[in-house]
Amino acid sequence: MLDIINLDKTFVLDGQETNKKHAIDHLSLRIEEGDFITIIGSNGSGKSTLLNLIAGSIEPDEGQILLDNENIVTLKNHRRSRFIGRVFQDPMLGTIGDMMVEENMFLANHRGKNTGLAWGLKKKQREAFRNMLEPLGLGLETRLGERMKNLSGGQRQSITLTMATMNSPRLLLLDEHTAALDPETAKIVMQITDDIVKKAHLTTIMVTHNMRDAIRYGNRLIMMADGKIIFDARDEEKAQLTVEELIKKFSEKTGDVLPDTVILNK
Amino acid sequence: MNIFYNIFTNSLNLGLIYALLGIGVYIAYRVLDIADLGAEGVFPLGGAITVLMIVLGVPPAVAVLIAFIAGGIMGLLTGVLHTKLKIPSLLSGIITMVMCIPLAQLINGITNSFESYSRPGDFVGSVTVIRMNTIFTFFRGFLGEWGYILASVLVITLIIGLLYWFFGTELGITVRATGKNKVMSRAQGINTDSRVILGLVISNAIVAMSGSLFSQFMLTSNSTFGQGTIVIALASILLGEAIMLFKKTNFAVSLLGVFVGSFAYQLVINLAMRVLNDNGYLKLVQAILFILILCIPLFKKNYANLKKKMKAKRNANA
Repeated sequence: MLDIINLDKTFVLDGQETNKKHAIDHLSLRIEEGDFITIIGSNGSGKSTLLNLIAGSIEPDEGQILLDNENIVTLKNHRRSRFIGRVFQDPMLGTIGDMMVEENMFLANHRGKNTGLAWGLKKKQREAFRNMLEPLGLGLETRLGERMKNLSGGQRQSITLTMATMNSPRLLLLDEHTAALDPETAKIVMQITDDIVKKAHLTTIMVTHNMRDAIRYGNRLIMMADGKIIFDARDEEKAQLTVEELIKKFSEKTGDVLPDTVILNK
Repeated sequence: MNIFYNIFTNSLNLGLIYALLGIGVYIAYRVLDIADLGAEGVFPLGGAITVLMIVLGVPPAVAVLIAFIAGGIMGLLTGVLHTKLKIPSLLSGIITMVMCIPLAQLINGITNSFESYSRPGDFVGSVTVIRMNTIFTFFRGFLGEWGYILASVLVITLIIGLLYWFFGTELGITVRATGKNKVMSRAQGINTDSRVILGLVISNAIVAMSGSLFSQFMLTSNSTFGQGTIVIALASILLGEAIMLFKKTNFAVSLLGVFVGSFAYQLVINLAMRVLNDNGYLKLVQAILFILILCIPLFKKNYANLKKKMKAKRNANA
């Protein structure tokens, strides 16, 4: 479904040629239709860079990204957004605080369609939005006319999720989307995520700091270090994994100990 | 009493015309989040084009439309410089401004070549047309002095109505989203470059329209008219927001706030000028008033702090 072939990206830091960071190191990955992949790895392992490359926010130095055998590397960010849904770590980034809930949802619902001079928000659409928010169980269906910034981080992230999965995207990218939330809210948002992904059979890639989430959700787990995939487990093998095993695997493969921040998050 | 009546009507006239300028700048400054200095050049350019067109016999309303389109083209230039050539927005606006001023001068020179319309002694680049047929003439015919005000009110109502409609359409919502959050907008498949350009086209078109009305009101066109327009525009926007107190309400109300701010600003300026009795200080007074307006948030904060302290003291005493 999604084929990543020999992808490579080096960042030059501070404009100095001597200060380089090899963020993605000739990485290849094949993702099947309906896969729910969780990606873990320490800070700077290239997880977020990989998502940015797939979404097109940054351009690779080398390599191809094929979506259903069509190379999308040359497609601009906003063109790829038509078939890729995305949720960012920062709840403030995925929605616009100064605009109303319904206007935010309108933007997502209109993704990939032509924008003309017809009046934007119609009654029928509002009804549809209400029906989408109701299953979240957060009471958001009555707050369509409110500004986004009046909602909590968890509520905003739940709406961003709903928006990212509107019009069934071919790929859903989640970039540590529960990391900025308090543990209780993170749990709720994670549950909502799992419900939506399962219900719509979305092909999903989720980057996470939370090892337990990485094991509990999805059908495939990938561990990254220094821009490479160092461990890849799916289905049966993945279901049997434990946090302890993952930590062991990490030190075996890298000769390094997982940083505290990652372990503490288990 | 007559003096104050004059100050009032004069402020209302200029307040209305400059409100249009403020609305144009508002689109760039508040909706797109771009400080577009191009207004300084687009404003006199709109005036120059209008006067030339009227002198050539074009109906005033059509002349306004032509100025509107010309302003849009200059907005297109700023937008392309900024989004496609990656020049910082502030510089893009300055480049457009620098290009507009000699253009306005050139056009005024052409108008001047129709000698019968110009006054002897006017320097090149400035045109005064006393017998000019303007968009105000018709209304002045049956309403006298208040005809000017009615004409401006009609134009502003039309523009606010059109903008309110536009920013509620599919396209308009994507322009607003682009101004607020580009990362999110791109993630929603919006071509943010094209939306920034479109917004700047609308903004500059309205600014040129304001310049067009200004020249028709003053019966002159001068390439230096633009000096300080950005100060007038931003002062009107900020003062309006301070007076209206509800900064982020309905879009049409926000635009109405720009008018309220523009009127209040002109009133203060006109009163100050009456006291000083020397037009040479005009820009200086405008700039000083602008500094005070920029400090309103600070005053408000200090006042709130002071109130809190007083209350604490009172509680402590009791």
